[in-house]
Amino acid sequence: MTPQDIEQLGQRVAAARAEVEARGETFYPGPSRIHLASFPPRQRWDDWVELDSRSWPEIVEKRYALVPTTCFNCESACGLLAYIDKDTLQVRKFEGNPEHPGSRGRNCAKGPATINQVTDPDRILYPLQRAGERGEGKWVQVDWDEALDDIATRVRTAITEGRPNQVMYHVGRPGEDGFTERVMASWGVDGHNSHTNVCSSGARVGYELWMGIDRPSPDHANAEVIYLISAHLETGHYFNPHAQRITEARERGAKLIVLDVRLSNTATHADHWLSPYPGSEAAINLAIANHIIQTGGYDREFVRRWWNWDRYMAAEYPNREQSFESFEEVLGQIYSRFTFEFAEAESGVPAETLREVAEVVAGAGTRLSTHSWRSAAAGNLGGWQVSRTLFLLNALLGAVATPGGTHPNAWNKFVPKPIHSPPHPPVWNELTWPLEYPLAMHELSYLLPHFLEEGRGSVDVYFTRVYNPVWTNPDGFSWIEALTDESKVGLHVALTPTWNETAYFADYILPMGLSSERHDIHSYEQYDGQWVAFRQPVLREARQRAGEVVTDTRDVNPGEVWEENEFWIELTWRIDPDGSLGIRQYHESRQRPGEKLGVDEYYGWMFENSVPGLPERAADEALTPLDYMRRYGAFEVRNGVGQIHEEVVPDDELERIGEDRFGRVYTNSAKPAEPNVVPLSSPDPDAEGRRPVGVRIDGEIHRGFPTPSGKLEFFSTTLVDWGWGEHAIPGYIPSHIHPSQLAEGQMPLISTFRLPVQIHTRSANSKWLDEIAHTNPLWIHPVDAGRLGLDNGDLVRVETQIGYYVVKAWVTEGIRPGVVACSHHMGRWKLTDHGQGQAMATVSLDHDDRQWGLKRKKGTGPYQSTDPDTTRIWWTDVGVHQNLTFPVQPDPISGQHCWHQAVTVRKAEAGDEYGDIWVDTKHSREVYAEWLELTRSATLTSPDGSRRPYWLLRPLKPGRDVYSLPGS
Amino acid sequence: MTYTASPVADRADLLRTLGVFCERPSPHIAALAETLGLNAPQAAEHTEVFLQQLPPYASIYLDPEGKIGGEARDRVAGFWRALRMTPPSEPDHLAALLGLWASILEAAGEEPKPERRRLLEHAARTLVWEHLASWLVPYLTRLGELSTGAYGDWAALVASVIEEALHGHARPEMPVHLMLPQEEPTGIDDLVAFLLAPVRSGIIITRADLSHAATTLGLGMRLGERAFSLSSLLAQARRPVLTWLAEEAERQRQLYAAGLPAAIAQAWSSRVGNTLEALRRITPQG
Repeated sequence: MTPQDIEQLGQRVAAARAEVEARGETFYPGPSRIHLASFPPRQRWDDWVELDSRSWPEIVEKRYALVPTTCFNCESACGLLAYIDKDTLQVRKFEGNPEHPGSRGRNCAKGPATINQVTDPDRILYPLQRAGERGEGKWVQVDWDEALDDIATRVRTAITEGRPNQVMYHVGRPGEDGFTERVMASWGVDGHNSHTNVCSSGARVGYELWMGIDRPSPDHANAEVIYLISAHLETGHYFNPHAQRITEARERGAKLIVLDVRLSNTATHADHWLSPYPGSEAAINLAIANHIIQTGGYDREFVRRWWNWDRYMAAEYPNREQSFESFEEVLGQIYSRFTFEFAEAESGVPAETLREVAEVVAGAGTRLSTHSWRSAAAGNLGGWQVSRTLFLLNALLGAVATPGGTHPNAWNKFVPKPIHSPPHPPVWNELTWPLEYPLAMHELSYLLPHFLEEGRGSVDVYFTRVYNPVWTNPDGFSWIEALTDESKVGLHVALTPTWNETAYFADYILPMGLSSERHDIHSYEQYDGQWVAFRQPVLREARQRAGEVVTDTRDVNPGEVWEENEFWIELTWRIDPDGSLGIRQYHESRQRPGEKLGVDEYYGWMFENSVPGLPERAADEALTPLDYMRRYGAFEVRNGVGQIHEEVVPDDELERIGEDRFGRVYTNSAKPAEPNVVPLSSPDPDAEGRRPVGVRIDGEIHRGFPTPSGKLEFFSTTLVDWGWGEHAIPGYIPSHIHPSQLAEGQMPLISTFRLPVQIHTRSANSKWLDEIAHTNPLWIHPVDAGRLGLDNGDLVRVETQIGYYVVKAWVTEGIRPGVVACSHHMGRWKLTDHGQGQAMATVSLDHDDRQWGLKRKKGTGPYQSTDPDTTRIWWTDVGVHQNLTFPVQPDPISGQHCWHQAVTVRKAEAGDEYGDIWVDTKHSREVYAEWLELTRSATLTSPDGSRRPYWLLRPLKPGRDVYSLPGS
Repeated sequence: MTYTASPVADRADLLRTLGVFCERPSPHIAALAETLGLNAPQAAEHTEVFLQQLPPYASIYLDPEGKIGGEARDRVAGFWRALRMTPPSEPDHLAALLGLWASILEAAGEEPKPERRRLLEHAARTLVWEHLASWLVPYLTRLGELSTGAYGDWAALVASVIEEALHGHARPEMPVHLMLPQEEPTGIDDLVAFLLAPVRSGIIITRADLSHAATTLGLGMRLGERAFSLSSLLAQARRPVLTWLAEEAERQRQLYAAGLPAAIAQAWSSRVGNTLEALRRITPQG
């Protein structure tokens, strides 16, 4: 064949393909290896043809419009493609979006199960208003207008009457980075209240103190050694994006080390699975660190350049020579007590095993990726030292922002600057930021019932938004007590896509959209790059592609389900209809001054002005940036970000600089405009008001880290200044469940893990997921089961400090002897048959004064609905709601709830039934008071008359002037 | 969708269509055959060619074990990864490799930055040289012999496309797969494994070849894996079977001599030379 023959043949094939596809038929056969993955080529997303499986054996072609969005079922925001039937304009299924740089077209079970949530026959489709008493379960459907006017009037009244702190927004699953914070800021209220202190704030403190950035971004794919302290990496947060990269690294030969009390999914893949006594993880990290130090295996040059050892020497060893060599001598002594034998005594892991693991870690060099998220950091008193000691390993090896190392998350995240940025609110809310916890990274959200009980304040308008504190938080009965008392919570508005235990105690339930029914822009640290992904109401986009104009997402969503951004803009306009409060301006159109901002303008402006490279990429395809994102759903801004701290600060940022004796450099130059507004810490200016711009190292000014010193803070002057000097360097704080703290017969209960297919409170209406996992037995080792006379499936009472629950035992060698564990993703309940039919037990809820009992009346089962799949529910068990029996246990430094419990496990008593729960909230108060005693209030420790260190991150940061202590 | 002439898109479609052709026959593939000007392949023919005789996996022909997987597949998978692509479960299947080639060409065609485009074009040429031409020279030759139907014509077409792609781009160095040290069998026990690993022996022995040898030599063909069948033939009549093997090796060497490009044909020929030498040594004299 001549080249011309081949060329002509290619033309013939391509023309044939065009002809076949013009008829709406498929040219290439379905499952084939010729495409790189089994994804429809994006050129054909407007008109994708598949055979209809339900028509089999007849061959019937279905035509779809494929519209991208992102998953809403965990924080990862993985890409989804909605397959929208072009005949019915309904979503038929969800699959992965290959254009998404984080998930790369792959999804865990929770992604495709979104279709269950969309078609859930029990979902809330219309605004509801309480008809009887709170919690009585009687509702009437109301108009959106009616609900919005009522809520807006109350918010406006609170603001105009000078009660801004009585407006509170309590968030569970985050939506768009910063969106609702800006709404609160525009209202001038310090009302943002996140769930993070029952989640990740412990780990965040450990990272923040090192880097001034509170999350890690491990580059697993390029690591030689992956060291994980978490049950959540392959079963929870970033499960899918991280797990796929861990798997790739392992295929290359990388070693995986997992510290987990249980044989978790992650641990089953490990080369080294260590099952330590819970709470001893920091001791193990320090033993490894000590090994690296004593053997001289650390990256000496990195430590010299990037640790703030000089401040440490000046503060702690002022009389010794202030040289790096002198610090090295000290370093050799600091951790010398953390021998492998010491770690063995604390953890129960043999010293030889620890030595072997330490050598693997030491051999990783700059390709050590580490991660700790909830797990131990969220379980233990002093858990924040778990992540602080873990990052110590990276800091010793120089594996910071290197290929295969651990990066600061803010460098691997892109938050586009929005069209409007309201100023910091001029108030401080002590219900969320109490004086006792000046170093807490996040709101003390789960203590709210106790603060209300103590009379520290009240809430007039309380929004729970995709959040279920009654079920998720510890001490849920105290929440019920607070939510049923209208003197404490005036108006409770639950914004939720699904029924939940908290919504039962609301005054309004407002239906919010799922992942295919709402807008958000997302970016998460999942590799060394920056991307943005777009969540959108897919039917809106499908209709717009068909030529319709949609200006209100309720017009295309099921029922009257709304999306949040439009909701908040509309609510704000009703709070400040004429703009006289100065609020409305932040929600107005720029194109049409005086009119409401629409989502198309909001995102259109953002994609046009704040995402570098996107306008050009879109122009290549003759699209606007907004159209590009609506069509493909994601854009990678940058790949291979690397070591930003090493960047040399350009001269134009160095106008009239000042420098302290440790090389911290301050400048008079204005901060350059930056389209990425990712949250970063804000170290204080110098005495002359110059902003910190970098740090001088070996004569050159580098960008450094956003810490007070500009370096990695091995030594936290913040902890010293605020009264916690004994913990200023990475160390080991024995847990509240340390063996020395347990009474005879008590065991630690691990409650911080979950199963990979369930997600907090929002998967109860996913039949496919429930079918895979619908129970949460108590993991117990055969040795302990034998001692207690338990067999598999026996009912046991698990007694905590405030009550007990009754659950089935699962006797397994997959857990460390002497420890029990119970997953926290089960045990959903409802008070009447109203609500979710799937995966929720119907219970009776009784109380005598402050003694509460919850008893299961019936489990789940098959039922008739618009979804024939509900007739195929073959299980009855939905698990047990253990969190109700946990008292609040706030860490005095991080504020993180310390989830692990000291419990007594024994055989159930006669009369005990599966799912029984009993709690006395008087005991809850006592335990709360005991833990409060551990705190050191800002009134006693503040070095400068402020409530908390200004430089630390805060989700919604008030103006600097309200940082002052009351009365100062 | 209206057809607009685009050399890159045309070539990508041609490659994908050729790739799909070695998948299981279906009405879809019959339509593609018509477009290519080929007869529609039959299911029995597909089973005979791609399942029984010549499975289209690079690793079978390039791995020292002569089996699917192993180091050769790892090298192919490594190439996918080097392009920042996740290798599919069978990265060395001919259809996957032709699909990959098409995708690289498309990516190069869409790439606005000249230096990045040049890199992608280089990657496409490397793919063809290292992971396609390296084994397709003997493979397609043998397939053309085995099938006189649709697949034989398809093989000729694929060979032409490869040859055309390498025109002016043939390299002096051997593909990495063929740089392995050339070993010789240590004795009769190692001989069977050696002969059935094409990258070691330089020859491709199919089930049909063994069956043909048994018939020609008047021996009993014991059915099983090729190694079992060949061992059985050798056990029955060692000298005649070794002689047949030598003749077959020489015959295949002559076939490759016409293959292009020269460096690859030479690599395979020289392996056959080693095999002939080994067979001569092992064959009982007299």
